[in-house]
Amino acid sequence: MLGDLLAALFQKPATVLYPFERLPTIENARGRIDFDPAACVGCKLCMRDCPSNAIKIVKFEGSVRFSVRPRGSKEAKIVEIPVSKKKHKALIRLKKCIYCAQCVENCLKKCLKTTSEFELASLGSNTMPPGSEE
Amino acid sequence: MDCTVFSSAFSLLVFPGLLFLGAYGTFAEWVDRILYARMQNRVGPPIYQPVADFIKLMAKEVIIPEAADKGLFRVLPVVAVASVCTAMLMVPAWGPAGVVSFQGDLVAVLYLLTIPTATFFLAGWCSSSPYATVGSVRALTQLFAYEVPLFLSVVGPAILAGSLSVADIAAAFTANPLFIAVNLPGLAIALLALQGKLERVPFDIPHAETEVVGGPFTEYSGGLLALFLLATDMEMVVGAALLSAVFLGGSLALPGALGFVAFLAKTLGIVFVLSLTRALMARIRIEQMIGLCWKILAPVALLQIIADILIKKVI
Repeated sequence: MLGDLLAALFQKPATVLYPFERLPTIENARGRIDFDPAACVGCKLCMRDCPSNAIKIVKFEGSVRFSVRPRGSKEAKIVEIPVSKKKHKALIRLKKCIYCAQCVENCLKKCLKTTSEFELASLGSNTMPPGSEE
Repeated sequence: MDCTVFSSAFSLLVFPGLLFLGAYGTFAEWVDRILYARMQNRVGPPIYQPVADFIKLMAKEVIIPEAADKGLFRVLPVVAVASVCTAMLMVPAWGPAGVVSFQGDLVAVLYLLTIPTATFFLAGWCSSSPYATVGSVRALTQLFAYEVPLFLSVVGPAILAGSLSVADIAAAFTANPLFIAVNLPGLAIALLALQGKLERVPFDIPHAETEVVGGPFTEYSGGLLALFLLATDMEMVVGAALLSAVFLGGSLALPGALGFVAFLAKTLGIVFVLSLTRALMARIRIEQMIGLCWKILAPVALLQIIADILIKKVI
């Protein structure tokens, strides 16, 4: 015990100074849900399966406006993507989602994916991650 | 006349009194906390943390329980700080002797260092809170355990030096470094007793958080609590300085600033040993502590005195 204490005096502390130093995120972490509108067929299985009613698949026409926050930057920008063939988009309510990834499991077309992004707090709706709704 | 008043005020309020002791006490607290943290593989607080804590507490509201003795409740932290500052006047910090040095100042210092514990007891007792009352009774019980080995352990050096003055003992130990080696068991006992005096692990029984919340300080808040915590920090410095003077030859008769550097090095060394003890051990129960002090530490201290008397006869 004494040896351990004295040795610890000369070692680097085990603490990770979080916002400045980060540990690598684990693989297959269930973070923010990513949606690929190009693959979605609008079966709405994810909607039926969601235990907290957090996901909504809606039809739309014309173009879709996404607020996109590039990784590492605080500023989000609005991107307008014209969509001609596919007619669905997913709205995920971050405050309801429990990140169980049931929707990802069930998606037949594999258009929902989990990402390792977990810092989802934001100061307003315009800085929220893409594809998300309050 | 004016000059004497000025120099007395300087010694009391600036060096080695309130200001120096406050600054060095908070620094020693930081050293203790960072060493403790590093031994536990943590980062520890930044250097200004104890000062920031003090300022924060000073800025907060003081709440006094309705059933408490309000005057006593307010005056006790000040008494604790004042007694520790007075004790520091008799402990050598700059030069071979303290500001006030007389035959028997060793006893005076030890008694002045007992006053903070007495104020802790009274603080808990007059708070009229069950936790504070239990804590203060424990503080007083503990007082009767650790004071015995502490007083006995400093008798040995006093016998060797043939004097009850801290400065004379330091001078005798500097002149004869063999005394330091002979009195190492006494130093170990005094360090353990000092740990008990400062109510630190393993002797933090009076304010064991899991049992009696904050102990005697449970009802204290704001500036009054800040003064109590400051008094504890100062007591650590004065205790370390006293042990360094009595057991380790004080400033080793080095002139001026060099002697002060020796003072700083030795007190910080003692603080290191105290932190190591804190990190190494867990809290013991009150009756275990009393058993340890009366059955082990006190007899060993007595043996140390006998050894010192024999050495004195031989030399």
